[in-house]
Amino acid sequence: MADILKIGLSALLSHQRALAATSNNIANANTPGYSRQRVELAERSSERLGSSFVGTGVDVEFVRRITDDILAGQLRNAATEFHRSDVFSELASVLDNLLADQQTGLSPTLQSFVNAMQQVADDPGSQSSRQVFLSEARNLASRFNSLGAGIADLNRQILASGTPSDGAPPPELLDQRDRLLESLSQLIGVDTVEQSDGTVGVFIGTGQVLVLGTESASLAVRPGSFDPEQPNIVLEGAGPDVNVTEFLSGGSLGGGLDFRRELLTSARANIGMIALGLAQAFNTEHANGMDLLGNLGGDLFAVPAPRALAAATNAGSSSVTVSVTDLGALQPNDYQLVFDGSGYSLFRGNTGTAVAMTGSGTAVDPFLAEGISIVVAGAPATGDQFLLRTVSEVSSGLSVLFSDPARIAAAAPTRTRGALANVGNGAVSAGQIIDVTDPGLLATATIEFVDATTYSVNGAGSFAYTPGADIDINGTRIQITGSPAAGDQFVIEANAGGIGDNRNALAIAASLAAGIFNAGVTTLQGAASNLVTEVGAATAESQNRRDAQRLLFDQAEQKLESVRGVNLDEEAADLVRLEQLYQAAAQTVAVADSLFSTLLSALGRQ
Amino acid sequence: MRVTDNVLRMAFLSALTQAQQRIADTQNQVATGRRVNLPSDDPFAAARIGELDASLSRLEQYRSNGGLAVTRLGLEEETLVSVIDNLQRVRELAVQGNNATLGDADRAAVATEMRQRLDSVLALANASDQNGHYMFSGYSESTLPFAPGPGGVSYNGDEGQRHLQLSDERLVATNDAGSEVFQRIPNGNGTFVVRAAPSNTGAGVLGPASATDPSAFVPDTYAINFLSPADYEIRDSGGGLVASGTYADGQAIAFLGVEVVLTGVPAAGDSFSVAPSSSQDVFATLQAFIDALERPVTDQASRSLLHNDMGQGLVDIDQAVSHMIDVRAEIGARIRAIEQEAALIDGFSLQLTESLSELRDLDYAEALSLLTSQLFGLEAAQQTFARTQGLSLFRYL
Repeated sequence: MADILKIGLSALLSHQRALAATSNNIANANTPGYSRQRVELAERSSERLGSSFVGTGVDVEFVRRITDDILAGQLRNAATEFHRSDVFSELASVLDNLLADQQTGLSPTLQSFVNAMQQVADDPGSQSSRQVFLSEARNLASRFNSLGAGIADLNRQILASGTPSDGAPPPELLDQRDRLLESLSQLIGVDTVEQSDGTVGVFIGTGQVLVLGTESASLAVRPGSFDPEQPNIVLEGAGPDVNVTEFLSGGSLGGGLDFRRELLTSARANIGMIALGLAQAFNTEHANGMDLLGNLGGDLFAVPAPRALAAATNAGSSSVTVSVTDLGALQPNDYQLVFDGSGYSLFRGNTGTAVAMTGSGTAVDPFLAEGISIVVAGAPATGDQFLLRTVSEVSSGLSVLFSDPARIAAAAPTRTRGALANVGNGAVSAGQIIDVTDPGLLATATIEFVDATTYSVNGAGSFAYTPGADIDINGTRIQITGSPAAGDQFVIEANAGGIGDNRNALAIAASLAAGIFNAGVTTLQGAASNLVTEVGAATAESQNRRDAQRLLFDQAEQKLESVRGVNLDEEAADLVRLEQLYQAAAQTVAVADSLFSTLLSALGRQ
Repeated sequence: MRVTDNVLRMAFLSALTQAQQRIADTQNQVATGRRVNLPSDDPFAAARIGELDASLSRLEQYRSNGGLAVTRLGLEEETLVSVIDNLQRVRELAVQGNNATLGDADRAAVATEMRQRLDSVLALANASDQNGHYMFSGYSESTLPFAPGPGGVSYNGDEGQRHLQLSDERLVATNDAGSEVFQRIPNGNGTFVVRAAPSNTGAGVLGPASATDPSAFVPDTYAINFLSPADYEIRDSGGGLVASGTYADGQAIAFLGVEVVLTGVPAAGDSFSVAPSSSQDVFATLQAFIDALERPVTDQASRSLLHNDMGQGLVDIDQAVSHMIDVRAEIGARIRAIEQEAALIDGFSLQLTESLSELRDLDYAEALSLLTSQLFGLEAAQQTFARTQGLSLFRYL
C-alpha cells in the first residue's frame, strides 16, 4: 500500500510538472524565440520483491527544450542575407527616387537648361529670356546640390541602419542567447562556433572575434581616416582598434556598407562628373563669348577644385595637388595614391584597380592618368596614402556665380563684314573664335585683296587666297568664299553693340549637347541617363534579391518555428491528457487510502 | 511538417504583406497611368523613356525656335513688301516726272511726294521687330541702322545675321543686315553704269545700255567723248583710246561688250561715262531723283541733264526693286524651309510619343483586371486566416 501511495504520489508530481510545462508553453506561445518545452518522464527503477521486480512509479527525467541548432544556424544566415538585401534595396530605392523624378530628375533638369540656352539664342537682346536662363542655371545647380545633400543623407542612414533597437542583457539562457544571436545576425553577418564549455564564440567579417568565452569586443563608428563623411567601423577589443569596414558583410549594417561601396559612391562620383562636365563645357564655351556689357564671358558655374586628402596615418611630409585636365578621359571615381617606398602608385577608389601613370609627378611633368594630373611635393614615408577626390564633391559644391542677366555671353566678341565698295562676289563667314586670349582679339583687321588670288592683312604681307580656306587672324577664324576682286576689303572687328548676336549662345547649346565624356562619345544627357539606368537596374536587382531572400528567410523562420514553436491545439490535447492522468494518479492515492483503511478496520475488530 | 500557431501567423502575415505590396504597386500604376514610375520598375525601359523625353523636349524647343523664326521673317517680309510698294510708286513718279511737258512747279510737286516716299522707306529700314529691336541693324539691334546725314544716309549697323536652330543640324537665318538689303544694290545694269557728264550742253540723252558680253568688259571707267555731234571716241581711265566712230541718233555705240544707245544730238565736248557697277543704296537712288526733279530746267543742257538723270535713276530703281524681290524670295524660301522642318518635327514627335507611350503607359484593361484578381486574392487570404484562427481545441474544453 505504501508502494501504491508512493507510486501514485510520483505520478501526481510528475504530471504536475508536465502540466506546468504545458501551461508554460501556452503562456509563451507568443514569445519570440521561445522553444517549447516537454517534460520527459522516466520509469523509476524497480524494487525486488521476493523473486520478482515491482515498479516503483515515475520520475521527471528532465525538461527538454525542443529546438534544432542546424535550423537556427540556417535562420541566422537567412536573416543576415535578408536584412542585408532589405537595407540595400531600401537605400537603393531612395537613391532611385532621388535621381529619377519625372520633373525634377537629373535628365529633365539638364534638358530644360539646354532649352533655356536656346531661348537666349532665340532672342539674345531680351532680358526676360536671359533671366529665365539664369534661373534655370540656378535650378540646375541646386538640383545637383540637393542630389549631393541627398547622398550625404543616405550616407548617414547607412550607419543608422546599423544601430540595434534593443539593449538586452548579456545572454544567460539559451533561448535568449539564440535570440540575441538572431538579432545580431540581422545587423551583421556572424559565424558562431560552439565551444567545449558550452559557450558560443561569435566571429564577424573574416574571423574577427566579437565574443569568445566571456570576453567581448564592441563595434564602434569612427570618422574615416581620410574623410569624416565616410566613417569606418572599428572593432574595439583588448588590442588596438581594427578597421573592419571592408570585411563586414551581411545584415543590415553590411547591406548599408555594400550599398555605399557598390552604388552610393559610384552614383556620387557620376553625379559629380556630370556636374563637372556641365560646368567646364559651359564655362569654356561661355568664355569665348561677349556679354551685353561688351565684356568677354566669365565663368557662370563654380565647382570645388579636386582635393587630395592625406590619410591621418601618414608619417611623411609630402603634399599632393590634383587637377582634372581631360574630361574625355575622366572616370567617375576617386583615386587612392599610395607611396610604396620607391614610388607612387595610383588605384581607383571604387575597385582598387591599379592605374598606370605617366610623368614624374613634378609641376613641370606631373603624373597623368585618366584625365587627371597629379603633382607631388615633399618627402613621403612608405605607406603614405592620399585620397584624390576628383569628382565626388563637385555636385554639392556646384554654384552659379553671377545673377546679372546681362553677363550671359550670348554674342561672339568679333564680327565680320565685307566693304560696301567691294566689286567682286566674295563673301566672308561670320567668324568663329579660336583663341579668346589673343591680345589683338578686339582689334580691327582688314583683309584687302591685292588681286583675285592674293590678299594682305592690315596692309602687310601677301597671302595666297584659297576659297573657303580658314584664315586665322587675332584669334578669330574666318572663311572667304567666292571671287573677290582686287581692292575688295573684308573686315574683322569687335562686335561692339552686337546685342542681337546669338552665335555664342548657339555654340554653348551645341557644346552642352555634344559628347563630353569617354573621348567625346558620351553626352551630359547620356551620362545622366546611364546613371539613372545603373541605379535603376541595381535597385531592381536588389529588390528582386530582397524578395528572394525574404522567401528564404520566411522559410527558415517557419522551419525553425515549426520545430520549436507552440501549437495550442497540441497543448490543449496535452492538457486534457495530463489532467486525465493526474486524476488517475489521484485515484490511485485514493485507492491506497481505502486499502489502508480497510486494513486498519480489519485489525481494529480483532 | 508540424504546423504551429506562429507558423500559421507568419505565413499569413508574409502573404498579406506581399499581397498588399502588389496591390499598392498596381494602384500606383493605375493612379499615374504609367507602367514605369521609377527606373527600378523597368531599368531598360526607363533609360529609353529618359532619352525619348529629352528628345521630345528638344524637338519642342526646335519647334518653338521655328515659330519664332517665322514670326521674325514674316515681319521682315511685310516690311519689304511695303518697301517694294514704295519703290514702285517712286518708279511711277519718276516716269511721270521725266515727262518733258511738265513744268518746274509740277516737277517740284512730284519731288515732294518722292521725298515722302524716301522718308517712308527710311522709316521702314529703321523698323523694329516685336521686341522693339531694330530689324535691319544686324547684331547691333539697339543701334538705329540708318541715319540721314549730309553725305546721304549712313548705315550704323553691322552685317551680322542671327541664326536659330531648327534641328540638330539645321540653322536658319532670321534677319538680313540693312547693308545687304538697302545698300548692297548694284547700280546700272549690274555690270556697268553709264552717266552723262553734268557739263554736257547738247541734247544727247542716254537710252538703254546693255552688256552684250559681260566677259569682254574690262572693268575701268571709260569716257565716250564727242569730238563733234557726229564723231566720238572712247578712252579708258588712263587716256588710252579704246574705240572711235561716227554717231547716228538712236544707234548703239558698242565696245568691249558694252552697248550704249544715245538719242538726240550731243554737242561737241559732251561726254558720257561707262564705269563698272558699284553698290548704291536705295536712299541715294531716291535722293538722285529728287535732286534731278528739283533742279530748274532752263535750257537744253539742263533738260538733257534731267532726262539723263531720270533715265539712269529708273535703271537704278529697277535694280533696287529686283534686289528687294530677291531678298523677299530668299525670306520666303527660309519660311518654307522652316515649315518643312516643322512638319518633319511633327512627324518625328508623333513617332517618339507613340514609342514613349508604348514603353511607359499603362494598359488599363490589363492593370484593372490584375488589380481585381489581386484584391480577390487578398480577401481570400484574410477570410482563410479568420476562419483558421477560429479553430481552437480550447473552445471545446
